[in-house]
Amino acid sequence: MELEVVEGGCQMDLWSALTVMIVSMVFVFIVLGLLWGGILLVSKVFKGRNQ
Amino acid sequence: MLDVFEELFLQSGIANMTWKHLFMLALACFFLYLAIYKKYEPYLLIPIAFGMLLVNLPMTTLLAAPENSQPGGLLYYLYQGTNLGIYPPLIFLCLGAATDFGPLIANPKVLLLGAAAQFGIFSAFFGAIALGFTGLEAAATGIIGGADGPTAIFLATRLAPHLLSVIALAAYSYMALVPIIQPPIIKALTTEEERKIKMQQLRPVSKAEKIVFPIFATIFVALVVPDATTLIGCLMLGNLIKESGVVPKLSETLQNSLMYIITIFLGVTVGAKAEAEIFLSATTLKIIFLGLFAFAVGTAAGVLFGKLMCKLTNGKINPMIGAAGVSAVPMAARVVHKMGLEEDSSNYLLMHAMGPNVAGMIGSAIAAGVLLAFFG
Repeated sequence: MELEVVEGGCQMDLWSALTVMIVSMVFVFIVLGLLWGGILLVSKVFKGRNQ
Repeated sequence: MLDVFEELFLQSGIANMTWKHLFMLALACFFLYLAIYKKYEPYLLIPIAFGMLLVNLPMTTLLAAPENSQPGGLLYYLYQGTNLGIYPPLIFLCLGAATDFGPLIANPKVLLLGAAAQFGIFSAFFGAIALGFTGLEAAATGIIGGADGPTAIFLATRLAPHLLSVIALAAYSYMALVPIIQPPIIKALTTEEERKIKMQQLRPVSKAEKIVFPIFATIFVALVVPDATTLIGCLMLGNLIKESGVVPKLSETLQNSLMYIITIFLGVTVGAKAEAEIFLSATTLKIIFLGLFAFAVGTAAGVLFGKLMCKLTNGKINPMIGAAGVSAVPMAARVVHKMGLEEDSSNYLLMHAMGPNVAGMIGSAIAAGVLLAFFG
């Protein structure tokens, strides 16, 4: 990804911004999807304990 | 004698008042009106508006930095808590103690709704770039779509501190306006049959699950998105303090005293950064527009993903709960619950909507971490 650094921050072209947008969104889905799997695992082990 | 009076007058606030100061004072008074009479987020809007009022009174030195062994102004020191990113994680600590992750643990698939609603953040980021913002400013502006004030402030102080006050005000204003912004979008994207869908009662969640969840979530998120550790770590610590049940006084302190103390400091100092030169610009209008755009897109993305999940589960999920994925805890969940009751007075969706609602809180902190990884 090309980031042209300018004074006061990074000036981005729309394609780079679109790439950041798609990559970030997919990443958030993956992380929360994995967390879903993790919760299922935790529930399987600890379900019904100390209720 | 007259010279002395003239000198005194020239050093007064009245002599140094400009139209910009007057406008900002009027705006501060308007926000105070909204907070006190309209009850729009009064806990935050009162300190924010008063901070705005204080800093726009000419000749005051509340924000002055220390100079030549002279101490700085009070707000300068209080602002360091915002500037150094201390207050937002502390608010997360307090929020953690006030949050019940039970509905999320009972139905963890709604995490995906929390993820879908973050589309508002990234679409506003893209929109900001299209409007000429730098990458840092666009990232800080986009996070308004997370509908999470502390996260917005946390990211703005790191990426675009000069836009902090506008971003914070936009974030909290739109959070207060969730009951107005969301219903038309939800109605436009769902059918009457979909809105009437009743969801199965959630299973009871054991105490052990509730204790293990914050520990597991912290380890997992910190390993995968290290930049989100500050916010998620504090959120989960607060939650662990509550769920452990062995330190009720700590839990009570977090949920009440500490929460309100930090809220006052955070609000006043954020408001104090609303200086006329920055506030009265085209950038402010763009941020206000992008904030609304982010909220609307986030809500729509959540509902549309809810419709997809409804199809995949053969109608077991009411698509409206996707709108709660934008965070804004618990306001967004309440909106969904109210809309469910309007369609069918026996359709209670509050607990079902709380799942995506807290998932949105985790999701927006992760999105902030991702943006920090890109631009921090």
